[in-house]
Amino acid sequence: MQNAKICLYPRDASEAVRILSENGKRALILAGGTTASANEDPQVTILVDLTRMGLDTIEWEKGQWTIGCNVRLDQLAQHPGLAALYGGMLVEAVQAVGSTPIRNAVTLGGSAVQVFRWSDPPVALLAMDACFDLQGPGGERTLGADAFFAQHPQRVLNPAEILTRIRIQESEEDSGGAFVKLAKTEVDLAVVDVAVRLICSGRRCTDLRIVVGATQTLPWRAQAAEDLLTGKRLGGRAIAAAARAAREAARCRDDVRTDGEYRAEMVEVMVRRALKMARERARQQS
Amino acid sequence: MSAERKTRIVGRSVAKSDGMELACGAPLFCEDQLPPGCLHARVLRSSYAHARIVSLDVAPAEQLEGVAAVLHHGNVPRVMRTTAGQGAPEPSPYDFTTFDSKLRYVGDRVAAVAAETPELARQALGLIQLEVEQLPAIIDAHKAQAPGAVVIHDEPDARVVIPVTYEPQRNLVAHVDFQVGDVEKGLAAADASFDREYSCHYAQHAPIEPHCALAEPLANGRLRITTSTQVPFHVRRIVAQALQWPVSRIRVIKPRIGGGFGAKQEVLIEDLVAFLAVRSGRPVFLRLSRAEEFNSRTRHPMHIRLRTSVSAKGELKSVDMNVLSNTGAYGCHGLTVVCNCGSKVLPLYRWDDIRFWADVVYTNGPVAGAYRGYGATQAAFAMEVQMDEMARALGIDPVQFRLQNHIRSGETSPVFQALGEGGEGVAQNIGSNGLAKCLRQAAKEFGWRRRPRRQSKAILRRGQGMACLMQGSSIPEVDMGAASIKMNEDGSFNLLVGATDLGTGSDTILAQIAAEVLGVEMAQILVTSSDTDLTPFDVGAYASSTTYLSGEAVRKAAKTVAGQIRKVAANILGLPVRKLSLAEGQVVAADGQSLTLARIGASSLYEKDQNQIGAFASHTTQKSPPPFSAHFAEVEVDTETGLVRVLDYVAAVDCGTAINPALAEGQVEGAVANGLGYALIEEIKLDERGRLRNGSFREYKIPSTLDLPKIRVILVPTYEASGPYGAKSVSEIGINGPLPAIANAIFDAVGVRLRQAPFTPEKILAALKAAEQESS
Amino acid sequence: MDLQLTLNGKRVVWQAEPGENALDLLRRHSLSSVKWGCGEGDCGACTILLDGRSVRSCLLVAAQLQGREVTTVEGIKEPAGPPHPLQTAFVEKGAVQCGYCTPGMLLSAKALLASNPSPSTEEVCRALDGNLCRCTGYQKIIEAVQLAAGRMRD
Repeated sequence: MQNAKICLYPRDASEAVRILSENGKRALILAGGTTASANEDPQVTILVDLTRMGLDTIEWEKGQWTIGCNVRLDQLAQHPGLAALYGGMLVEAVQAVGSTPIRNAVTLGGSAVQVFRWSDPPVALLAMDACFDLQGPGGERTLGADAFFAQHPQRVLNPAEILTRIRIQESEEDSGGAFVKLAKTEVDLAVVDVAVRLICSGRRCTDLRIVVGATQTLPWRAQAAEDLLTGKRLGGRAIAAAARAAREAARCRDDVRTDGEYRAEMVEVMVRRALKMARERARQQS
Repeated sequence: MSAERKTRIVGRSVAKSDGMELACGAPLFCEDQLPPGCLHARVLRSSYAHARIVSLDVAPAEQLEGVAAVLHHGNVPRVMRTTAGQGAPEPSPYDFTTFDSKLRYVGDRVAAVAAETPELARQALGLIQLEVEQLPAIIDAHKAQAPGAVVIHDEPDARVVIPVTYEPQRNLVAHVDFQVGDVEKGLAAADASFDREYSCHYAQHAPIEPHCALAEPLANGRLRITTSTQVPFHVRRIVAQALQWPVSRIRVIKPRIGGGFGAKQEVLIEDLVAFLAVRSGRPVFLRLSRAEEFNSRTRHPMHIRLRTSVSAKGELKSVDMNVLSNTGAYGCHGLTVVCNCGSKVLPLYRWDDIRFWADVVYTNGPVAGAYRGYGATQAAFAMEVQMDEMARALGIDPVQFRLQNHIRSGETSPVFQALGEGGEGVAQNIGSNGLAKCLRQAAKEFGWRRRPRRQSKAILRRGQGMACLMQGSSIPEVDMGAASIKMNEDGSFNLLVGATDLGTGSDTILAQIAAEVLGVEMAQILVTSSDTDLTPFDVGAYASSTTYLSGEAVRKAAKTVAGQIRKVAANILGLPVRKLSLAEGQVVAADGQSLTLARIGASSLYEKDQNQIGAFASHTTQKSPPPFSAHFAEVEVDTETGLVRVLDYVAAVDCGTAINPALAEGQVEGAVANGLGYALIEEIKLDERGRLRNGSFREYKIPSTLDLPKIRVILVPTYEASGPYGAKSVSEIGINGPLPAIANAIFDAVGVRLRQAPFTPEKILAALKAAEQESS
Repeated sequence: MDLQLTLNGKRVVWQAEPGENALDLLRRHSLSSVKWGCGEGDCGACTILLDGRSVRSCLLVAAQLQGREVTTVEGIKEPAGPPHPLQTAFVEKGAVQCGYCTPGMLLSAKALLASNPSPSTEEVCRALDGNLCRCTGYQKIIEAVQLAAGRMRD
């Protein structure tokens, strides 16, 4: 951003959208700002700081959580109410991110839109079937998590469109959830992330979402594993079979941290562990 | 042995003398001191592992506005030398020049630019046109000596300056071989013998402050270099050598240093800023990027074959250690590091027969150099894992096995005589030795189980492991440290030392020694360390030498000064000198009369027989008394993921008298943390073309607060008669323990022996699977 | 741009390029306690407090400081005043070795103690997990934070 001459601070989402639509590729968005500083695009002449337009609160109403795009990860981690949402999996996922100063800067909106292969919160958001409120020049729309992460969100968003809020519906049924991360050190990027959300009726699992992260470009649902368990009781053997199914579906990348083979093996281990944790939490709730 | 005396300041954990300034963020580091108008340098580096420069066009860079100078092999004189900051003549080969027309590893220097801003310098690098002829590259050390292997140093002027084996035509940097007794016979005749192979990997020091240097041309024709170095006097000599200048035209100042661990025992950038400053006539600053720092210097990867034999009663018999060490593209510290594999590990136990033989080879990998532990780290891993294996095989408690076999006070080892800094060493008898106490105290503190754990079937399994260690204290008959002290009129003293505090606290402990002798408080000792114009010579901060060697130089200088003070006081009081002593800032006579030091200082400077009270002293040593240590670790292995969590760590160390216990503990804690990183998570990874895959803290993880257990340090006091106030060294030894202690603990937990470091989850899972297949 | 911020309790207006790296900007204004260790957001030597939260200045650009409160170690005590209890504890405990990571550590610790006056060891470790130290093995740093916390509670 060596050519950036001004920075604009929109006061609300409409102003942000207007600025972005007027400036196209000249404008670069700053949110938490942990990635923007590395931008070297010479076209960028205008910085747009989205952190001054509100949208920085966590609200609960009628079983639905609404989280502004500017809510930082440290705020989420400390929020007492979220600790009960699907076993606290969102808190677990944001706690898994980097280190304290990174969580103090990164916003949930930024993390969702600018998802990297190893990003932890999107894994939980996809598993919780969060809704993503978008605002753009053509008005407002809402995407479900599956649509939002169907391809990279930056391609899902239209030009000048921004993510304003993320909404998560609580379940009225018994439910549980878990987010687990496997990394080689406490502050390393993930080898594998797994998030599980399950909704039960008695001992039977009526709805299940299993999401795996860090193995390929975007977090993905292990649908074969979900299908094996949905409508069933979550016994040890069934869980083990589902974990194997997830492993078979995983297309794991090699990277500097580990090879695809170890990753794939860990998908099975982590899916198994996440399912067991989610099951225990669901049982505790019922 | 001289008796242990009660001390007043020595042995106390006084606060580090520069601690508060540092805690206030004062501008004490190299980069904090840039003058106005300072140029910024950047280095163009090879992206080839092995190549010859066919053409190099720097004109577009030179023509860029704001570029002040561009250096490359075409415009800098060729002076063969080493980057290793060692005493001269150096035991490292002269295989390096400021810029060469051949590139020998990914990261080798191609050109350097000084420009008005770092950004301009970076732009200028992008304009340089480089054309090369690529050559076959050797990444694997085992292939370096294969028939027909490409010759990495084929230049005719590569040479050694001391009489040692050096055969660059075979990629052989050094060869060592000595034998005492008949090892083959000893191995064959014993009740049990063991033959195992071990390997250690590339790792980086990762000081949080990377290498930084500032060169300022002075109007008088001299050059002032401020640099983050462990070896300011060697920097002066080596930069003078490169510039072909007399040493007198160069002044090197060491500001505060943000950690070194051996990386800053290399003269890696000072020559560049010096040349650029001379060419441009302006101050030039260079700071390595973190990626460059990761590729600056590394630990020597080694392959070690260790054969040992032992009687059924557990008496060690014969040892044969064979090492293949990979020094990378340049031979800095190649010979001396490998010598340490033998000299700092084999004497720890009593052996009937000993053979140590080693080859050090060139490859086109990252350049290895000095790194805390200096070869002992790698060899102690092999030895201490094999000791564990022998003890377990014989059904003896590993602690008992060490107690039975370790070297005692008053004993010697033929290794001391046989292995020195390249050539022969110096014979010595062990003086102080607290190893048995270390073992007993640490075992108790830790809660050592004497018998192996019953194998469990749980997913998470715990195990205990331990290791014993020794190091040295300076290089005998090579190292020299010096100090000077002068007295001021208020009874304070300036202590000037060449010894290089790189964050270790050596300024503080040297001041403690001076304060102890002079009978004053710490505030009365003003330390200046490492300015080649002002302070006396010292080889610098390496080889665990500062406390033992420079400390003794300080003690000697202070004793002389104390004598001078008593003489002045004797004149004033009209009493014989022998009736006077120094205590609590005063000279006290046997009859109760006293004079303050301020009174004496003022008298000597202004009043009577005017004379600067002050003295120089130097110290060399015939001995390198080893500190000893026992480490204990408890781990938990996740048998599904292969992850190892270290639950507990106890390190007991005999460093003689700890001049400053808190600082000594800090050295051990830091060394253990670094060693734990080396054992479990730290590894430089190369791709098949020799490029670093993880040159950042994001990819190369060093332990964070969350990755370490509580590290409990026990200082076991002994008295080393040859050291100042009984002190030995403490800074390096601690890094050698984690590798074997963790390997042994993993064995205890899950029953697999890991002999290839680091102990990654992938390796542990693979070993567990192999063991399972074997048993089924 | 005219960059207005509250630096160590005082309002300042600096001329800056909006995209200028915040670490470079602070060092250009003689805040030497803010250290360059990697420039990539991984080591924590450049930690500052932004509206009281520890963040990495090397990942921020000047424009993001607009209107914010920035604290560096230069501002945790009065220039002529006594040291902050954290500084005293760090020096006393031997938590300062080379000192290069120390300013960042102090700021992370200060932010922790502001929200949690009695942190457990685990909480101290968590708050400092973004500040790398290669010298100390963290043991004495953790002890120092708890010592300071105790004194600040009294």
